[in-house]
Amino acid sequence: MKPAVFDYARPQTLAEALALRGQHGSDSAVLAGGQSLMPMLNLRLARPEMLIDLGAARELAYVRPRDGGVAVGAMARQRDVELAAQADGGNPLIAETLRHVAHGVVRNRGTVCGSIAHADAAAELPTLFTTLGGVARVASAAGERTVTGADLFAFHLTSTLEPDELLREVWLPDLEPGAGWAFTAVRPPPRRLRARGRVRRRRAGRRRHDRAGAAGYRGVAPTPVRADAAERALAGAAAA
Amino acid sequence: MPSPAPPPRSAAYAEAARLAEDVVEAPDDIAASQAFRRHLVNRLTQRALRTAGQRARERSER
Repeated sequence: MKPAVFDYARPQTLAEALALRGQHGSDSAVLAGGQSLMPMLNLRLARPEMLIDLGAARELAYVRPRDGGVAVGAMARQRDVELAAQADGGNPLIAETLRHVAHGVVRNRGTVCGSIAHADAAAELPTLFTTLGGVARVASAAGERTVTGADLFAFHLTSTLEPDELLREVWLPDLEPGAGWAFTAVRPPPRRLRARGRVRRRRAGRRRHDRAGAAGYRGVAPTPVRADAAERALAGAAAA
Repeated sequence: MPSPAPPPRSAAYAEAARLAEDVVEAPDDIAASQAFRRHLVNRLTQRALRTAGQRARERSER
């Protein structure tokens, strides 16, 4: 199938993009890599009247260490973030999770923020964001606000962004010194789309290895979720 | 002969994995039953905990 007819805009700056978003609101969709949105357009599951392509907004294509973590702009490609995280070493879970996202060709085009804003409950990056308690910088023509962790997601494929807003940056924290991490998943047979897995982060003290942790899951609920009861049990066992 | 008691860390991992099963909200469908999803959550949680624990020890020893 081919998409329904839509208007197309390719703003050069964030300010232009926000003005378009404010003008068209829920009749618009934001394209940031297109690895999720384009198939939805082709299947006519999404039918925006205006498509706002952030591809020319170079100011949004960055990956920067900041405040004990990494800040990822809306147009930072997944592959760039994977390589930056690998080189930085502050949070090995980021690179490990990104290696599970589709394959290299998709990661060369797809963006971290695009995947998170898409809010697929079975996707890796929204789960990583939830598990780490990341911070999203959400912008509109009226200003900015921040949204933390699971509060960014309302339901499957539904974020808590307002129609005039876009996700301009996410910040993901480094792991604490001595922390362990793991990403495990069940890989479906070829050609099957469903997968389940979990992103797991554990913190460990320099002397004890079981102090506290965070466990996030995808593909099991309408949004990415953390296992609060399990986290409390682990923290309790470590303190005992 | 009774098997030896598991080490405390394994017991904590098993308990956390059991509690983690409750994150599953998805109902039975064509891909899997809810019971199987809960089983997967349990097993993968224990696997992830063992890996994370091992990595934490390796990191601390550096």
